[in-house]
Amino acid sequence: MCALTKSNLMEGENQFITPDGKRIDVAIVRLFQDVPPFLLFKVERFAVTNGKGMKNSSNFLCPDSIDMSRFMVNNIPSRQYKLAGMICHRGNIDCGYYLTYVLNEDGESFVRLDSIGGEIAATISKDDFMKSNDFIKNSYLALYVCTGQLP
Amino acid sequence: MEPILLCQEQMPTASMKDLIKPSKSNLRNFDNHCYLNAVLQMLFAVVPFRNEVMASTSTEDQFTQVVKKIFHYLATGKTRDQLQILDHDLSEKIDKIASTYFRNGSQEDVVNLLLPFLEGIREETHTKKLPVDGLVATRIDAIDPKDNYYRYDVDIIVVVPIILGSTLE
Repeated sequence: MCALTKSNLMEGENQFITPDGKRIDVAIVRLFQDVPPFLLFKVERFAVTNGKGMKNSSNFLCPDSIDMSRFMVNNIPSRQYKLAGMICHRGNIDCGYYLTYVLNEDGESFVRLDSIGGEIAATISKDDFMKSNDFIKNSYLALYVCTGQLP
Repeated sequence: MEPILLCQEQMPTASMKDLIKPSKSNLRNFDNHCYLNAVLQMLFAVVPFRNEVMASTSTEDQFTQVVKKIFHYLATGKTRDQLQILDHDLSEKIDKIASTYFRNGSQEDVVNLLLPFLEGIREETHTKKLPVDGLVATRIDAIDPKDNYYRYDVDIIVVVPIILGSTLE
């Protein structure tokens, strides 16, 4: 997120041209005017290197909650987001399997939604989920939901 | 992909439980469409999206209607007949809509699927208002240090890429 919102100095050929024709160096900072109740973060696990697709299975820990206020124009205290779901990918670039975890209604556990048909059998506590390989090495798309009071 | 984070005009007042609710059923895997199931399950869990689809009145042969049927199975826990629907209706329509986005044999299917998936539903519901408030919006607002506003028109989903080796914050 910091990389997304970091300041970007425009100079040299990219100088900003003011309406009256002067060329000046400006720093552009991207901040968000507002953010929606749902956010998706895609972990860039798939990349093409030397013409060959690769999956990067290194550890990445999605935080349980994110405060989006610091990336926004006005410091709104209600922009707290909580991890609510995750699509995980098991396997490698050529062969793999997707499954989804969604936060349970109790807010303390996750249900595993598999492609096996039938009723949901697997409920996993939040702690166990956040220690699992699916969470650490297979995270692909993380869904966050705003927990604060929405205007 | 360019990082795009989107905003919306108004946000609903809702508690966490009104926003996220998992389904009671697993979908079946057919023809290695587990990525499709993963997307369906996640979108179903987003309650405002679920409600929008369930309330849609698209005609029988439309894509949204097929998604609605599957959501109905997920909501009632009866997925016994789901396989048939997926096989005959959804697979064909998804493949048609998404054909330009898929790279054959690639495992990176989910995001490639989400975009045309939501676009397909939006087209069919004929609304300017996108079906997934919060997941999709039409513009991004930004401001520079001198308080100049910038507004960009965008038409795709909120997907913020995270480069491995960095942290989310």
